[in-house]
Amino acid sequence: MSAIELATPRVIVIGERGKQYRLTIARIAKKMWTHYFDGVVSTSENQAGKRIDSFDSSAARLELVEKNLVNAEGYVTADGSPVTAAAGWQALLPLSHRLAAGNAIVSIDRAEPADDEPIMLGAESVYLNAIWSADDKGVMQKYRGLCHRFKTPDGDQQRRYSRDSSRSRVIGGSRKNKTVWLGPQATLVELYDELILSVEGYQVNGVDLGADREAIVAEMDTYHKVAAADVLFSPAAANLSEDND
Amino acid sequence: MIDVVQDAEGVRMALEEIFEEDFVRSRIDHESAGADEQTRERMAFQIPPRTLSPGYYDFGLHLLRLEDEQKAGIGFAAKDLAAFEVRGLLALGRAHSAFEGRHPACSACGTRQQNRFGTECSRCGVKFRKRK
Repeated sequence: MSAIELATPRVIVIGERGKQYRLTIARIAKKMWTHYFDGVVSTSENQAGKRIDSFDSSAARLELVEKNLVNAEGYVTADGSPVTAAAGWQALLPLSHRLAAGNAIVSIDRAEPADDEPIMLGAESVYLNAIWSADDKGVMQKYRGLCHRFKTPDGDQQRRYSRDSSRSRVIGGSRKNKTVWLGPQATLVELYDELILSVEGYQVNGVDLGADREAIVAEMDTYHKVAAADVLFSPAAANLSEDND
Repeated sequence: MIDVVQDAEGVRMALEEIFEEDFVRSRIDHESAGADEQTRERMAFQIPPRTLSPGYYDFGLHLLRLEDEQKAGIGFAAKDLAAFEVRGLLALGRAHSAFEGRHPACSACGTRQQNRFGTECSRCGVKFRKRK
């Protein structure tokens, strides 16, 4: 499978009523992603003795899309002028399309390893699946088995992750009120940059990032850094047997 | 809005609740050995409900991880800890003391007792001497 091209804008294609709409999103800078993470609302509260967690990133996603949209095709205007000529044209696009674009740019999930190689001590591989951009035919592609190889985190790095993932504020008083999680994303980006050894499935201007650490740190998409580092620090599933005998 | 890590008293209370939960859970595990699922579920109601917002317990668990590392001899310099972690570890020490005061350990077998007023160990039956 081809690699994700990080340098070019992403094209999100939306099909509706037999028509195709193409939204072009500029490369999203680290600062923009940081602003997005700040806008994500992740809360927990106790209700009738049970912990209820909630997560809302829709407003932050919409803002991220609107700030980074550079072109939209397939739409028409009342006077026939180009869509992008109108002031604030990004916010005039259908809400459902902006939401769909937002969903596409944060669509990443943990993947199972694509190979059956044994784990190498001192290095850890994380695999992701992600939607990135439409191909030439306008089909949205899911890239599978994107590999990020890390040095094994040391005790200090694990402590930093544990510390920042447990940071929170409580609204309204300590008892029975909402915990708002501050989120460890900024720390995850730092840890990614410290630990990354090599990647597979990513390129810049047609050149694979491979084991070029400096290039990976400079060029890798911040959201992918956070997703990969998050998997690195999350516990693996234990191999449980249902059989008690 | 309360920054959880700065609320040392709230963190101490959460840690005490975690210790009480663990204490009740282990007692239930011991007493319900061989019991059916229904009985176990009924006994689980004895676990005291949490009274604070979830952030306190997660920070408490972070402090317990730090303490585990220290106990295991994994050294880290004080400068590696944030000031709020140092305050948190002190709160953890106070929580341990309060819990251990409420549930003294049997000097013979080490089992923590339901309260400090018992006359014999709930596990091994050894008689406790009264303080003079």
